[in-house]
Amino acid sequence: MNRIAIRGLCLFALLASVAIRIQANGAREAMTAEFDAGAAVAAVVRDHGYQLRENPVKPPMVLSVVVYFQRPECARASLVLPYFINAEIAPLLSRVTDPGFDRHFYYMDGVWDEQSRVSMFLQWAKYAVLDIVGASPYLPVKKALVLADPKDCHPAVAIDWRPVWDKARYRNAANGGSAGAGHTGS
Amino acid sequence: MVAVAGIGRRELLLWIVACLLVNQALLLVGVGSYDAFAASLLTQNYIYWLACYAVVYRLYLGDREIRAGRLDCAFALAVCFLIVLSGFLPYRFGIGLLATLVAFYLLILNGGDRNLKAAGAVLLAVSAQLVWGPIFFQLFTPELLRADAGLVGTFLMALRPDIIWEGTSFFAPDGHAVSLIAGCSSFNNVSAAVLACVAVAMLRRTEWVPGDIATIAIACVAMILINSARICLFAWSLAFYDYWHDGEGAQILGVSQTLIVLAIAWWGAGPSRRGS
Repeated sequence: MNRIAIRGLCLFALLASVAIRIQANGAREAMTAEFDAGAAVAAVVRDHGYQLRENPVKPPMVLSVVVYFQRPECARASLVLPYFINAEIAPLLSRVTDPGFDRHFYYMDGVWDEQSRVSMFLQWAKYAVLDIVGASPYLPVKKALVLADPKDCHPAVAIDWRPVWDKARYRNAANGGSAGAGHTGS
Repeated sequence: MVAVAGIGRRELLLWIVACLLVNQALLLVGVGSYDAFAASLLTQNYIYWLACYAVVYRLYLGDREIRAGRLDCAFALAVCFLIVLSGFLPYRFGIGLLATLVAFYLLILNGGDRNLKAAGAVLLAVSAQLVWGPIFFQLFTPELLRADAGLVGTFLMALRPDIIWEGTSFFAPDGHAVSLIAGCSSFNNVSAAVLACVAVAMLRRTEWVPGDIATIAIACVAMILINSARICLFAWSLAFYDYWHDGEGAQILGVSQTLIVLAIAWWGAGPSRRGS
């Protein structure tokens, strides 16, 4: 094979990969920028008719991201802590909950009773790959949620947390729709 | 290997590595604006870039006379195609996996060229930093954090017995509390130490010596101790936390760690230790 042709092919591969990657990186950055886990959680809580409670911890403290809300059937407030899926969240969670709190971990369409780091990573990989061909219903961001309900609190209604990552919700918000999960304050 | 192309093997491999490194750079450097670019330069891992330089340097010194064979051309074509495809996946692991593939190609099919083998070793360490290290950390986060907390807790019990140590959290009497959740793990520093030792050793020579294991061990221990001291400072008080975690202290610690690990790597790769 001709030397010039091989160099041309290599140069083409370099330029094509750079162009595609810049475009993909831009789309990913835009997606990450519009994803606000705290605001999305607050919107889902409000959609279920629950009242938000004020978080006594303020930014820049790590625990300022906790979203508190009150279920009418419970004596104390429940809380949701958004976190990165590679983080070990137990120490932080123990600082805002008492022993006996009922904990459930949510990430896209998965629910776990314990922090399942590997399952969440695989879940992320699955939707990140599906997202390339536009087949992911969820934003493949690496943020999961842990919900902690007080002891002796038996929620009458289970909250569906999937809208937190729902792409359609963000598309509606971007188009001026009413969902606005990415833009509502908590 | 039968030469079928008019291009040298060394040049073909340099093209592949250039494609890999440019694509990696786009994931690590902000290219959205000049401000993003400038900001990203301040937060770069310069050991990583030194390793990239070592890969290119060793490939550049490869044998210029050998022509690319059929296998080389097929491999280059496949890798270039995969690099273009990986562009659609804006995450490090895609390009990291391809770096691993190229590293093994260089390590196994180097045709006796020591420079290519050395480039393969450094590229393997780079790919470990990009993809295998994070996966390992993902699998063993609680265990690694507990080990870190054990060391920090031991130091604090001697220096500040009033700080209460519970699992991977530390509670000062004034209400200040610190928990290790991921980013503060020594594992990140250890993987950087290994990368620095491999990069510097392969910059200065093309073969491994038994003393390299000791150098890597010393660099890792130094990084673990410095990181433990750093976490002790975070736990000491809120003012210390603000300075050493979010303020100028973070940059001072980052630069100090980089310089120390590079000094150890340079010393370990020096001529005086080659016979050890």
